[in-house]
Amino acid sequence: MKKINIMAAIVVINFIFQTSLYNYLDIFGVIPNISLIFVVIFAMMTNGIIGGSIGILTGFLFDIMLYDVFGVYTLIYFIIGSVIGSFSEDVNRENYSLYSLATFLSTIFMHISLYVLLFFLKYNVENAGNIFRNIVLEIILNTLISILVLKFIIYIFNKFNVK
Amino acid sequence: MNIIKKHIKKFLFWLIIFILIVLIGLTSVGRVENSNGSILGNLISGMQKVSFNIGQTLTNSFYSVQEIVKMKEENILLTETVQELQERVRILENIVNKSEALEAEYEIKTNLDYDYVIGQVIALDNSNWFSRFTIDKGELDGLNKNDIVIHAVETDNGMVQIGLVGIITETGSNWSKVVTLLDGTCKISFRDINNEESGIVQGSADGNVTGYFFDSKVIASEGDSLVTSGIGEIYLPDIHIGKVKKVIQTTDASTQKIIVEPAVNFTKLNKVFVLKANR
Repeated sequence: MKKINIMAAIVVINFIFQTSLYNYLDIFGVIPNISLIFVVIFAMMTNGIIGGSIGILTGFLFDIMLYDVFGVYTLIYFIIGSVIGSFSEDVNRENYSLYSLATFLSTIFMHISLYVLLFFLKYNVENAGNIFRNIVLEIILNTLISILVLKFIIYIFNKFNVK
Repeated sequence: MNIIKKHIKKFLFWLIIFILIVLIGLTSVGRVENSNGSILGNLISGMQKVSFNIGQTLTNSFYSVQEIVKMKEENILLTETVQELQERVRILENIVNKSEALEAEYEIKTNLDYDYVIGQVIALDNSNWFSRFTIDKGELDGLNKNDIVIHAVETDNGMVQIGLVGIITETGSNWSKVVTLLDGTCKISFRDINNEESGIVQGSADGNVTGYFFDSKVIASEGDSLVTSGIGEIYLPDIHIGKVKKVIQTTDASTQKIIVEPAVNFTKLNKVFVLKANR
């Protein structure tokens, strides 16, 4: 229970930073999606149910605080959290490169899903090709930063004696 | 037992996906409000404001050291621009004063004064797909859905409009969500003040604002200024949108597409003005 509470607290605090403070830390005009990285790592460390729940919490915060259509981010983060959480039960969790791989695939999945959902929501995605460079950069940044985020989580868990 | 558990998990997974898709559908057509007036929303918006201000203070202090050298040059340039503009105003006033009709219209435009609220940006969507933000003013400050958000400066003579930012889509008690004109869902009816023709501009996923004229025979030029036309009664008329950056002939050659350079620099947006006009 302590582990879940800490994960939920990190997700909420990170959401606040993601939508405010991180805007000042852009790299080549792109801001890494740390919220997504947390969902992936927490899902990898737990299971499908907790991963899905963390995904719902993260998406819920984005949907209620920034968007007028509810569910787009909740749906995407839920699928990412629950699918990765389910797969993580059968892999070696000590292998750090798997966390990066999961982040890499999740970022790609997130952007493809956003394109499809926004297309059906009649959003103007005509020029989506023009943001391809930013998306590629975000995928690279997320993949690299996931290792740092993982080390940070391990440090926090050690501090609070969470296994 | 394990097989049953696995099936329940699968069932729950698909059930949640189904519920979320239904919710997306209902909220996108406005059947269900994406309700946010909760304590959670108010609490988070308060913390976002603190966090946003910390980021801004740190960035400003970093850039202010860098920009000291540039400031002197900028000051000279600005003084020259002000003198140039003053001369232009004198010439235009001279022309306006010679016609009674123009003078009357000038009086109406200059005396047009909206009640406004100054809001601070507290959260930004930094994904590549949207262009939205949240401000620290809401229902308690008298803001409502569809209020117009502009960028402006406050002077001794009142508010001076710089350009259109967007529109409020939802309000909480002490915060509001704003969709900017760069966003793919934002459509605005405009009037070209150089040829008096109207059309529609729309944002897109890549942050470009594009548009077209209602009359396909209209000839637009680069540098034409666009203002809101007021058609549709959502946007107030005569708010500066931006300038035509490029005119592109479409493949069917029957229409022309325009690319608009917004008057507002969205990357440096911090304070915005919300117009409280009775419509």
